[in-house]
Amino acid sequence: MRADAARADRFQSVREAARAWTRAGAIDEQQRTQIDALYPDDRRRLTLGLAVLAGTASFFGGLALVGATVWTLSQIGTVLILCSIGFLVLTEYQTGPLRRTHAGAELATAFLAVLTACGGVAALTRDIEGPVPFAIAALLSATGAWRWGFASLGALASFFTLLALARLPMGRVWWIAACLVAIVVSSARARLERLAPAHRRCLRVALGASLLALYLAIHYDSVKGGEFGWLYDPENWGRGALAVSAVLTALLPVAILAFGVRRRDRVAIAIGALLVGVSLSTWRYHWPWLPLWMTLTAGGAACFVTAILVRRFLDRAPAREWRGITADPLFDDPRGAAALRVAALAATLGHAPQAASGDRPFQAGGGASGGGGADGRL
Amino acid sequence: MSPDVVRAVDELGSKGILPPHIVPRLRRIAAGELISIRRELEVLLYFGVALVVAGVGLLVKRNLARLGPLTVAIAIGAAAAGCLAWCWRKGKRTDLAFEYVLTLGALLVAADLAFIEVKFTPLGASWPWHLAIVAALYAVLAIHFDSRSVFGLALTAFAAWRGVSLQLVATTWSSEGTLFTEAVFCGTLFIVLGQLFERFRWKAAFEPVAFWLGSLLVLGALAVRMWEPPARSLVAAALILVGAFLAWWAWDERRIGRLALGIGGVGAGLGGLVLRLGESIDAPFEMALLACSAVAGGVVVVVLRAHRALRATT
Repeated sequence: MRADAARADRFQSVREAARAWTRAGAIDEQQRTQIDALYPDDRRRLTLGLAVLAGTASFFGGLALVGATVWTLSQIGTVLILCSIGFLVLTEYQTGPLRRTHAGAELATAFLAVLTACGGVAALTRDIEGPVPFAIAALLSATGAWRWGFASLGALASFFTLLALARLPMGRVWWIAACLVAIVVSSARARLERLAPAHRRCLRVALGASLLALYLAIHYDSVKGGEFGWLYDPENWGRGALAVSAVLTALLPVAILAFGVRRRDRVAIAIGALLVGVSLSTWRYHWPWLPLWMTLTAGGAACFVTAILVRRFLDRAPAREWRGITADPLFDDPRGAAALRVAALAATLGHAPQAASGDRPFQAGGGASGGGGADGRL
Repeated sequence: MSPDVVRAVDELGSKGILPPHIVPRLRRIAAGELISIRRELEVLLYFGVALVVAGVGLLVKRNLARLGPLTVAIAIGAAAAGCLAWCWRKGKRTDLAFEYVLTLGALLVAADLAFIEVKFTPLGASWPWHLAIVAALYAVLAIHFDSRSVFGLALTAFAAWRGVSLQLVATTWSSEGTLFTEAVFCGTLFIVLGQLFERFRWKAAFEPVAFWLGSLLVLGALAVRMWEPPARSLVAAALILVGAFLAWWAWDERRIGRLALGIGGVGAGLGGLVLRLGESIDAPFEMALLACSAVAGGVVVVVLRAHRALRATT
């Protein structure tokens, strides 16, 4: 990453923190102006809405341009590599002389540079099955993440690395080993001061991806075969491996949750809580000892009770915190959280459209099919 | 955690820019020694609402014929009443769970009304009106408790009564049906409703919910309808006009997200129009792609210029 971009990134994180402090009333506008003056911004940034639009338009515009070029010329591989070089130069120009950050367009061209390079390599080698194209894609994405600091390229690098490893003999073992190494390395290095904030974000994304991938690799259904057959399992893992995977499916989410609490890591806490739910669903799927409606209702009630009990526990703890964890907002943006909540509730729990004719239907709220999208199957 | 902010807090504290009494707390938060799990708890509450409502919906739907109707109606009604009574007692939104308990109560009331309607048929031949009644009930709850989440549900229930949902508009289309007109009608109504809230300074916090839902419905309906005959060019032109109007309006009020939505609408309409033009003159496919690329480039230029102009004026 360019030194000036890293410096701007560090200053930006201070200004963002100052904005949050002002919103929460911890400091006033005058103090914030002083902080802004001490940590000035030399980048050209767009606000979120405009950045999303510019990024989307740049991506699809660039993709259409690549499509038109490939359609006209016959050497697909060479054309894609040349396009990739063009997008790479564009990204460098935007992040360098134009000093663009969070403008959307530079992220779009970076993505296009990586994707067209991957496409070009695949077309030239005529290999889309083996591990090599995916390894090259992972390398290119990781290089992009290192050079420009885009966390989304970090996610892409993690994804391609796992795909490449899955195509090796004994892919599952490689996958698990890589995840363990990535978890250890990224959780330790994501807190280093000498790394730019953008690189720390990339490492946090890698940590999240590794935790999810590790769970996927040890999950009971994935080991059993079925849905995750692309992991290239040996012929037969045997009952022992299945028993181990069943135990790990139950224990790993709790371990991740404990790891998150111990290290006060929100990514690990969120992923651990999510995976606890997934493991419980897996258990219910294989051993359906209660009717589905009862499981769903009891699960929902359990979520409610857990959230309320945790909040009460934290509120009643000394200084309203336990092991450095609190339920107070701590400078979060309340407007953003409220907007997200309204959008999520209205989009997912609204009513299914009215049938204009036919039999009288039962139309409860909570999405299609009478509630939360439930259709009677897991 | 952010080591850069930790260092900055130390520097700002020593320079006297930050009040000394808040420095230790800010430092702890920046160093990751104190974190908040409020968002995670909210997500858990959201899943709680979704799962309970799904479970109740499934219970009634699957066992409609077997269950004692009065028992079910009373049980769901009691659960809903419990939720709403809790919210009533709390009065103001002081609790993290308030919005979610209120939403759960509202959805359970809706499920109960739907069950009663199907089982006891009080509305008779007018049964399609039950969603309108549910929408009105949500609106009353939203206004009483000042809840934007429940207001959003009221709008989606109203749209559902008219046979429209955002997902339906975005994914399916039948040019023979009335979905297009209903979607445009609902969208326009929501935008006007939002404006009335803002104009009369009453429940002005509801305006963003009404605007975004309304404009997404209108733009989504036009964008999907643009690909289906007849009158595709006309619909594309309408999309450009609506997008331009929204952008102009947002520019006037300096609302950046809405400006982006309007410009996006104009870009999508222009893209559709260009493709339609290419089709009508039998232009080669690569020319159509190049034209789309040019439209996208134009959108980027407009965005950058708009941003520059906004910065100059603020």
